[in-house]
Amino acid sequence: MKLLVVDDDPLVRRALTRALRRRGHDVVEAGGVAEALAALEAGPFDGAVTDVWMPERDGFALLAEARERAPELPIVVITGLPHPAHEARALQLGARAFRKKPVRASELERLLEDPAAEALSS
Amino acid sequence: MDALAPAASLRAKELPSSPGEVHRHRVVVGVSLALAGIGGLATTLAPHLAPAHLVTVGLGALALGLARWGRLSLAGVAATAAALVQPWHGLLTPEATTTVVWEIGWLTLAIGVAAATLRPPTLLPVLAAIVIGELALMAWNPGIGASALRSMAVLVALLAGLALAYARERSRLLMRVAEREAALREATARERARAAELEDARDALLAAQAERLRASRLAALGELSSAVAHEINNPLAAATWSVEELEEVVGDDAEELVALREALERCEAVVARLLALAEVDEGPGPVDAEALIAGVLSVLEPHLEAQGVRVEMDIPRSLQLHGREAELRELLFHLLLNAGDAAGARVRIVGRVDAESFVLGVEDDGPGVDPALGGEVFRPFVSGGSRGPGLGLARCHGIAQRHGGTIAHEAAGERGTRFVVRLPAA
Repeated sequence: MKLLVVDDDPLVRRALTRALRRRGHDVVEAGGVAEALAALEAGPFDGAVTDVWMPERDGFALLAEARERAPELPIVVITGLPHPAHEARALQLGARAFRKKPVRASELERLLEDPAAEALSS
Repeated sequence: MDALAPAASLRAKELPSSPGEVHRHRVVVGVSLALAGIGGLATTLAPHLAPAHLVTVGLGALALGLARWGRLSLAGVAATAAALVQPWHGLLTPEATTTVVWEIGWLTLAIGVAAATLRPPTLLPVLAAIVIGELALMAWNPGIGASALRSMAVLVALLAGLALAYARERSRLLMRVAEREAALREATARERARAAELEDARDALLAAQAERLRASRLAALGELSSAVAHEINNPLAAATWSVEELEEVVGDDAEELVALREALERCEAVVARLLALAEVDEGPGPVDAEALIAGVLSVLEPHLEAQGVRVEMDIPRSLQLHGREAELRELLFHLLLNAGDAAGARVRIVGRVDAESFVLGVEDDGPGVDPALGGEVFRPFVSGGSRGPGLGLARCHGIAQRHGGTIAHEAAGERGTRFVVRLPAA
């Protein structure tokens, strides 16, 4: 799969990128929402993983923009500080799933691959 | 005449207000009566001097009147004058032996009455003794005559009046003292009540301050835990993904990776607990106590069993609590975990419901809470000897408070502690 990883923290972003690459995916990194949107403009993706709290614009903004530009793109939202209200908002904005960090790369992969994965797991 | 000076200087209308003044009054009355006695002696020795006798009687009556009006000092002056009118006319009579006898009699009378005025209860017997004694003297010496009897009657009446006036003043004084004492007692009581009110107000203020401090500590803890959770979860995620990569390389059952995963999971659990400390969950609703306890015990029982602790329950059937289930579960979890750590062999869960609240208690048979800690055990990072960092009871306090309830601890029998949570009925 061609995947987009959006996180402002390079340590997190690179670790996830490496893990997903090792699992055989083609991964593009973005350090913020603007960079992510530019990447989405550049080419079609099979899935995206985004952090929530980033400087300038947050993960919710990315979800809103992505729904306009790539409505079919599955996006999994991950955050170090989970809150039920944030989860509800993310799902309302079209996120496929909302996960607390740390979360295994294999689970992110499963969520992005299978539209029914979240329904099955919850 | 020197003896008259204090009498004249006294303000007649003013009541004595100090022991010194009372003493001066007594001296004045005593001296006046002594002089009156000497005057009476002169009267008996010169019964033929009618004008002097009449002046004595008049002054005596005036003294009596003044005494009855409570003007003791003026009465004393009048009595003294009455006593002094006659000596000019009567001292140089020829009956020397009788004079000595009568002089002794009148001095006895004067001194007796003066002494009696100092101790009113003995007044009447002393007066009676003196009158009887004088009558006896007169019977022994019948030549003295009717004018002497009249003089004596006048003086006895005068002295009795003065003594009665003094007694009246004394009782008025005692009443005044009693009134002052009562007023003082009342003022003292008022001051005490005011002091108690101030003390209560101070206690309330201190309690409010402590509560605010505790609330702000917990709020700060909430912010801190959020920040810590965010800052730790991110690198934890990075580490988790790196471990996953290594699993691909060396196989996921490599001993080192198992240890790494376990360490990461423990970090994750700590952060989750830290977050739970500050988080508010879903809205309140009915919560089945038995199910709640069963749920918590299913998690904790292996831990308790490993510590050799037996769990007993005394919960009324189908007891329904009202609150946020996740929080109440956490509250019970912390209380049971603490009780299990403290317990020797037994933990007991008790529950009851009364008119206004649900009461849930968790008892252990451990060594008890250090009395010095008191309510401090509910502050974050105050550990009463349990194995944790001292956050569990702070969390419990926060949960009970958010439910509009309270949490407290008390001694449970001879040994052990009972944590009691009261939650308001819905």
